[in-house]
Amino acid sequence: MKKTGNFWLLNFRKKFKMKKEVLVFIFVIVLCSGIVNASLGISPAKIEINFQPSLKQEYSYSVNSGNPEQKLEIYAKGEFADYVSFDKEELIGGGGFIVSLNLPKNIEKPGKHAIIIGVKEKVDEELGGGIGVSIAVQAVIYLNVPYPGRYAEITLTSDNANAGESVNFKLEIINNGKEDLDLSPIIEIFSDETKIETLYFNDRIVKSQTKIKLKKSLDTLNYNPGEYTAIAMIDYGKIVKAESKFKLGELFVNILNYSEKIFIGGIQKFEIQIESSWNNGINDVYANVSFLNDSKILTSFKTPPANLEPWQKTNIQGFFDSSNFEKGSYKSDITLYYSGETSNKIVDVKFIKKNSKRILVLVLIVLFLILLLIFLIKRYHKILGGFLKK
Amino acid sequence: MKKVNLFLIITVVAVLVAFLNLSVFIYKIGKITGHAADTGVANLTVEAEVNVNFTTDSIEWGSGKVTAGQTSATLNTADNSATNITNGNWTGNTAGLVLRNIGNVNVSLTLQAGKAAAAFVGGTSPDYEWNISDTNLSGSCKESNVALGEFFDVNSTGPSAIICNPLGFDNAIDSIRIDIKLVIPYDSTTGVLTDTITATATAV
Repeated sequence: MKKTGNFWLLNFRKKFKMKKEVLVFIFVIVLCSGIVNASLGISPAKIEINFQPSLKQEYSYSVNSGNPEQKLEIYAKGEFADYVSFDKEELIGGGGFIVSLNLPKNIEKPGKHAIIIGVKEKVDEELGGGIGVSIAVQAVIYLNVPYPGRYAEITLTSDNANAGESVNFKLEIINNGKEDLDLSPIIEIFSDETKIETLYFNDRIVKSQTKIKLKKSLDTLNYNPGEYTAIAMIDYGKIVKAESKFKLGELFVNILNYSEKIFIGGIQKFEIQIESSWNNGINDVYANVSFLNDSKILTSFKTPPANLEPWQKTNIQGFFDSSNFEKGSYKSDITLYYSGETSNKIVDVKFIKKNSKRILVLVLIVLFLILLLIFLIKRYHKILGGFLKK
Repeated sequence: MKKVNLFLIITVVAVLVAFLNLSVFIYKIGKITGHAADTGVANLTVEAEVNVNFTTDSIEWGSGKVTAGQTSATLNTADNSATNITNGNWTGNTAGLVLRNIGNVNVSLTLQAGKAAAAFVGGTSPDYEWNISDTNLSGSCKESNVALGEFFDVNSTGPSAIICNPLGFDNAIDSIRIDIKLVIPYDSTTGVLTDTITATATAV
């Protein structure tokens, strides 16, 4: 007996013990925050303070919400949250609140600690349905607990420049120790492993739990273009270093790469990869490309002008008709023009024919094989049928 | 005559007041010789603020049901094709949720759902996943502890996963998209189902 579709459906229902009513249910999925504009902000975002024994301090915070009726919960998180209290526990639609910080006499663990001051939207689970969206924003109070004795950290930053221009350094020294430090910072300039110059800062005292920002300029009049490394150092009984690399540029655009193979026939694209060694932008960079046969110019074309950002590497391209070329290798003269300067390279470019004939032969072979296969299968069935009859 | 006299008096007084005002003004800004008589200092403090906004904060699929004879239906906001609803008759939705950093500091962003699939949808083999992706070609999320652009189970327990660190505030790199995929089995929980996704942004 042929089993109908109904049999399978009934069997399926029976198997999964489904009731008709269960198959039909209304499922409303609404992802709705219930508010017109789901935004929440808190300021100030960051406060940084130095630890003092038994410090009592108050900080004012401001909250703004996209919904004037939104209930907001205020909270503190982190290992020092117990030392924080608020003048209120919740807000409606935004407003201000006061954070009172009451630190203990001593904190053993030195370093930078974060106290999170957060505001979170309250969600009324009884309202609406589906998936609600809630935002929490958290500001941070960074508490710097000093290290015992002497301890300092430094950071060094530098700008790139063109050879002959000044390079500006910024050195930040943070004294995270309990003692004041008498320092004589220096910056050493290296080219690869070779020290070229040393810059000296004035001697100065950096008080405990303070930071200072120093600046210094390097005159690069006698420097060659290239990459350099600056290493800043302070010595307070322990040597602390910070490193920053910088580049000195020159008005030069290098030709890095180009299209090595071109198909013969029709309009073809020729790409050139170029890189700027200049610390400023260069406008209207273009290439003039000529293909040569011995010393005779077969064809030449210009690429559209391009603007280069400082140190930028990019591709430029031009188009030409390769119909009159024969298969083989040709010399190509690529000259870049920019800001009154030029860069030049003579390269080899291969012109090749498209493999259209090869593809045609391949298709014919495949077709032949398919036909042969069909013929053999039919033949096999005939033979087999004859054998079985016997 | 009296009216003319009154008018004249008022005019004279007005001119005197104007002259006095001008004198005070000139005195305050110093002599007009090209040399500053004093140094003025303009102080301006711009406060840093953490502020994030769900620019798209709702996804509506309307009402529907699992197609008769099917074991489950799938609803997927990341699927732009006609198959973003399979085995069900809900209204398709391809918008997703979009969260944007509209403050002026970078933030570290975490997400947490209130429930896992079993508690939210119920039934046999339900699924509740989200897919976090950059909405900007230049990449809003420089670093993430989750695989961006892929669906994975929502995080409803334990520490929230860091989705972006940082999520920048520059307009070109300040937003992410959250897509939701639900698998609703034929024997799912019925009635009003509720969950809350909490996005937490912390100043970095």
